[in-house]
Amino acid sequence: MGDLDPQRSIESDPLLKAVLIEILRIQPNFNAEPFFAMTGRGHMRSEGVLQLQELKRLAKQGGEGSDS
Amino acid sequence: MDRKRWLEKFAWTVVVEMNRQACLAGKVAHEPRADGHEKARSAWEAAMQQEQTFREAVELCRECHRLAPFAFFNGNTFAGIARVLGQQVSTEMGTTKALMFRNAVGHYVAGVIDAKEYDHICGRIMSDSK
Repeated sequence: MGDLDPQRSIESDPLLKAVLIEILRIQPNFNAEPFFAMTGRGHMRSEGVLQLQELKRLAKQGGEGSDS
Repeated sequence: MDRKRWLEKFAWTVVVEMNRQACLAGKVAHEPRADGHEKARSAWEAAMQQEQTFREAVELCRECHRLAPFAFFNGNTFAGIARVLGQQVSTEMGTTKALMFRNAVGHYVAGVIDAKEYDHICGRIMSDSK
């Protein structure tokens, strides 16, 4: 795998392609600069809080059927 | 949790290419950082050959983020890898718990929650899923 052109590897492998899509999808939540290395504390604009609040609200309304 | 070669498909050249594309999308220069690149590459390539628990693979992603092998967008590069690998662990959790699990993985690799918090959250999710 390491000997292949990495761009081709990503394009031809569904897992690698999914990872690249995810990296680009979550990119707006991250600072470009390496703050974690500089400060020992990372930074991320969380998309999870609102999503989770909404999911919990929906779960309360409709029950937890999808989670069993 | 099963041990396996979680990172075997992720040759370092692939990780570099993913960061290059992230930098391209973010309109910043893609380049290695002298401080962290060699340490991260060495740790990553050693781990690729090893069977690991998912927790160990996540820990490596966090450590490589902390080492910052690239000038920009280390966080989403390594969090993205860990989050997608987390999908393989969370397939039987149900939608809400799977999302919480992947978010916990992403937040841990991003460095915004610590190991104690991560283990607590994942422990709760796993025990609730049984």
